[in-house]
Amino acid sequence: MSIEIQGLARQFGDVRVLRGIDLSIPKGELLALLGASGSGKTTLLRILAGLDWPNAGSVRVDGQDWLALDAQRRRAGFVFQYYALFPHLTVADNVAFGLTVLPRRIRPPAAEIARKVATLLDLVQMGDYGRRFPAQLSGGQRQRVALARALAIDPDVLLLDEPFGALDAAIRKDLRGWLRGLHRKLGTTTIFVTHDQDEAFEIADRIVVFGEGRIEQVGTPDDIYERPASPFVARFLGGVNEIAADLRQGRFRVAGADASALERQVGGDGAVTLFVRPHEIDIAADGAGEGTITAVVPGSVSIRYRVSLPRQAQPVEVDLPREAARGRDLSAGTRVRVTLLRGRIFGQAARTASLAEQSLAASAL
Amino acid sequence: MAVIDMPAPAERAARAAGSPAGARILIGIAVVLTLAFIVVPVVVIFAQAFARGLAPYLASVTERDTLRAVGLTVLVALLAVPVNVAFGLVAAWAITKFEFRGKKFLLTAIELPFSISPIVAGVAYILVYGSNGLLGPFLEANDLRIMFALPGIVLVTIFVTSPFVVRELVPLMQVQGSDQEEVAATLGASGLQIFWRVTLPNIRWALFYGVVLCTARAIGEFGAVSVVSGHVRGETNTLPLQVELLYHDYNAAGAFAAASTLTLIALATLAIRAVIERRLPRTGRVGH
Ligand SMILES: Nc1ncnc2c1ncn2[C@@H]1O[C@H](COP(=O)(O)OP(=O)(O)OP(=O)(O)O)[C@@H](O)[C@H]1O
Ligand SMILES: [Mg+2]
Repeated sequence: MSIEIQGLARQFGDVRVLRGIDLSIPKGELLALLGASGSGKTTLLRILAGLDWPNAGSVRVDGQDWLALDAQRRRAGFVFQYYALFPHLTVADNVAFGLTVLPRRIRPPAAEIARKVATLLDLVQMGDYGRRFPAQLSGGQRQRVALARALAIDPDVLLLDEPFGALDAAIRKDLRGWLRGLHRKLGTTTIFVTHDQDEAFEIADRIVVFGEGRIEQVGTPDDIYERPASPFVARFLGGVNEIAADLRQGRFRVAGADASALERQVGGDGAVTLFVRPHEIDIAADGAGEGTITAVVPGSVSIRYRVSLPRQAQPVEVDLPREAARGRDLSAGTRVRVTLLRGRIFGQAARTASLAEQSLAASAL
Repeated sequence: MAVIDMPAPAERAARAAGSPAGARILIGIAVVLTLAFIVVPVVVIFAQAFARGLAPYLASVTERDTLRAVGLTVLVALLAVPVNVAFGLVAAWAITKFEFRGKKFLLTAIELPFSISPIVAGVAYILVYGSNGLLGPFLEANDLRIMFALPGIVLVTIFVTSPFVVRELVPLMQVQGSDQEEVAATLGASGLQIFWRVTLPNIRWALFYGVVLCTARAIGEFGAVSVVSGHVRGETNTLPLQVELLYHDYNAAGAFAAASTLTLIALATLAIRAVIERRLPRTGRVGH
């Protein structure tokens, strides 16, 4: 089912939690909602599920007005962050719930329900656990039961609120691939909320970056990472350097660093802030270089260097792949030549907006 | 409540004090006080009741007026408790699942019967339903008798015991939140189905617990009932009133016999409480 959201707004008292959401989701898409805590992701999902209503806006699913339907009739499978399994029912009865509450005339016979439950439990790899109670399952197992329970009603839309939020890192990784595969098999239009960007990047067809009740950017993982639409998005994806630079006749100049490789700009002379990711900077030991390594932080895939540059308030963070770093003889105190490989600036308007948003985000946290 | 919880603060205090000697002294004091104030009087009731042997005891207990009092007491409880279960469920549901203005006030108002002296409750009912009361002329004109009759006794009993069920349900339902109900709604369950199949199973032990406490109090209530009953022997005397009456009649054996029945009910309540308490969730989730 395709989903068409327009002008959706929701406020609680004076707090405007959603401030005009426009989003269209084609049938069968797996969409990730990525955003900071408190940015309104759950609120949006609850409105889609029929558990909350907006103050303004519309939600259409395949052309039908969903806001006129109550939760019972939307056939939206909702999975809560903390699963919300029914503790007094066995795993099988949990999964069967959506079928056993059907009106008698359309309810399938018990044998058929049992068959369907068994199929679903196999699908989520919980075939042997039907007789257990939720309290006897691990977090990952509960999560899968909750998903099977949502799938039992053959949902038109699947809404997952931080489906792996309560699990530890290793299990999360496992379940990501598994969810991706499951979606490929079922093709149900799915929206899942996360604030783990790796998770969003790995699973989703498209990502919606949420900031304070507004959509900052919608796009494929590549779009979002390579072409962030605003400073907010660039910052949200983490670890971006904000480097003070001068723009003159389309060329960037950064004191103490070589910025000649950067794309030429059209007009807009003056002081600018360059957004550069740590892996978009190269360094090499050079006694005549103007950068100085102040710290070395080894990671599993790459090594991070903190490099101080003249006239930068903050040291610049640089990531070198371990292979590249080998043999370059870089350690704290080494003087280095710094080369910027890529970077981007945002318009003056965007910059001021980002400052306002930043202070908003700070006050929300 | 305080009865059972009494030793606990003493122990905690001792642990805070940190000395085993201090602990022993405090525990000793707690035990002595419990014996002196609680256990001994209860034992005395039974001792007195059986003072002249089993036969007189049985005779006293099965005396006509006493049996009638037992019957009336049971009837009152059977009428009052279901009303309070219904009230408790509705109120707890409203308080925990919805946001509305005056919620704090409602919570406080519900607890009022606990903080008000039962006798005041009885007098208040007389002022409303009595022949000189607010609704008196209306009731009289329609030949309705509420005071000094069964309806009055049931009404004040409902009033006095109304907080028990709500008090047990609200904290539990607050902890549980609405997630399960909401999931059930997205799975297509109707409001009634959600209540019977999701909410009720989750609160059943707390509900049962509230019912037990409510019943015990309904059976044992003296003050409020005393005001509105009219003390008609064999007619409007509940068991606690009967105990008092026998006692004032210098029928000590009869009084103690009747009292022992009440005490047995209380002890049974205590036993049931202990059993349920073990099943009551401490984390807000019902175990299996
Ligand atoms: N029922 C409510 N009443 C009042 N405020 C609410 C209510 N529900 C949510 N909010 C507020 O709305 C804001 C957004 O909440 P929401 O749960 O949608 O955030 P979220 O993006 O899902 O965050 P998280 O990642 O932490 O789950 C928060 O500031 C929250 O306090
Ligand atoms: Mg949330």
